[in-house]
Order: sequence, then structure tokens, then C-alpha cells
Amino acid sequence: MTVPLGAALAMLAVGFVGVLAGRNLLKTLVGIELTSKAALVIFAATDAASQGIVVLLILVDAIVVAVVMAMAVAVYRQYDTLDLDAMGAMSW
Amino acid sequence: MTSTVGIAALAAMLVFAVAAVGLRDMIRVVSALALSSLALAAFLFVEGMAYAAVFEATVAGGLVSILFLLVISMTDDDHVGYVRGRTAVLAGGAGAVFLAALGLAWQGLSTITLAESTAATEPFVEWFWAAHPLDVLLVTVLVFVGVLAISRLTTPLAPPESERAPGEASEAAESGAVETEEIA
Repeated sequence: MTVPLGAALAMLAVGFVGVLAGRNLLKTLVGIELTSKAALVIFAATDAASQGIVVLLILVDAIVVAVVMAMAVAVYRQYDTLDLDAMGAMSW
Repeated sequence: MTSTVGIAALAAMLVFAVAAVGLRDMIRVVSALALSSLALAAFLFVEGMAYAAVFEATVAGGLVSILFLLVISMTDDDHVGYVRGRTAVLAGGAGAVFLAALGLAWQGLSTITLAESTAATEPFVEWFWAAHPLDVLLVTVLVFVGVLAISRLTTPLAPPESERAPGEASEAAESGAVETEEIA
């Protein structure tokens, strides 16, 4: 296994831990961001001609962040907190 | 083969990613995430993806960090806890199962031989705009729609009429009366 792919897998694991272990909605979004960066590293490491896909992935990632943050603000106005446990229905 | 600079950038990216997950102060979390994006941009630049590096540094390292800071300032929720007890055990188990499935999928995919890559010989900019004119335009529009949606949702709501201060209510009534007189 090459170094970039190993780093991408480690990044994926870190992001996964961030998604699963965080109770704050924004902290969960940080975990999602880290997993998408792992995908970027895999694209960059496997094929140097995939630059267009990498650029599109970065832009789509920014859209995901914008939409989820809009949802976070709406959720904060509804529940007055970003704690997933306190929201109850959204925690597992 | 990745150069030493590329490996160093990957290591920095991992360190900042772990810091982003482990830190509790949200400002520091966002700073660590932005530094991780910059390290990834450095890796992309070393790998020869200059345009992707610029996008990563400006969009992921800049725009996304500003969006995070904007939402943090609007929500004022500094509670950053972690799951405990049975939920933590379930999260750890799910993570282990996920990584095991990932390893198995990796072993399976490594046996598949991909077709030879068709690398573009023309400049990237010309190829990119010729191949993706519509989707890039749509993505750009969607980015701005998302930013506008956040700006709209984070606009302070006007308080109900009954909760307004007496002076504020009288000023509003006076301005309304003046406008009515002007119209008449």
C-alpha cells in the first residue's frame, strides 16, 4: 500500500470517528469534511488525470457544507441547541 | 512515488485532522480543519494538480472555514461533548466493522485491473471548460444559492409586536403614519 492511500484510509477513520463520537452537529459536519478529504487524497493518489473530478468534488463538498449549515441554523432555532442527544429524535 | 514534501504534507493533514476531531473549542476546531485543508492543498500541488490545489485552499480552506465561523457566531453553542457509555461502545463497534468492510473491499478491488488511463494532453483549463461547461456553471450557482440560503436563515427574526419595546413600537407607528400621510 502506498503512503497516500494509507494516509487516506487513516483520514477516513479519523473522519468516521468524528461523525460517530461527536454530539455537536457542527463537530459531526467536521467529521464529514474529513471523510471527503480522504476521498480527495484517494483520487489524487490513484490517477493524476482526475484533476477535474477533484475540483468538482471540492465544490460539491462546499455545497454540502452550506446546505448542512443552513439546516444547523434552522435546527438551532427549533431546539435552541446543537447537541444531538438533547434533540432526542436525531440521536441514535 | 510520493516525494518527501508530499509525505510531510499528508502527515500534517492527518495531525490537523486528529486535532480537529479531538479539540473542544470550536474556533480551534475550525482552525485545525482549515490547516488540514491547506496541507491537503500542498499535497495536491506537489502531485501536479495545481488547479485542484488552488480550489482546495480557497474553497475548502477559506470559504468553508468562514461559513463555519459564521454559523458558530450565530448559534453560540459551545457545548462540544462526546458520546459515552453504551453509545460509545456501539460507535466503536460500528467503526471497527466499517474499517473491516473497507479492508475487505480494498482486497477485492485490488484484484480488478482497470483500463489504461486516458490522460488529457491539452491544457487542463481548455479540457475542463470544453468537457464540463454546464455542470461547472450549475455547481457555481449552487454554491451561491447555499451561501444565500445561509445568509437568509441567519438573518435575525423580527420580534413579535407584543415583545417590542414601547419606544420602538411608537416609532414604527409614527413612521407608518408619516408614510400614510405622504401617500395621501
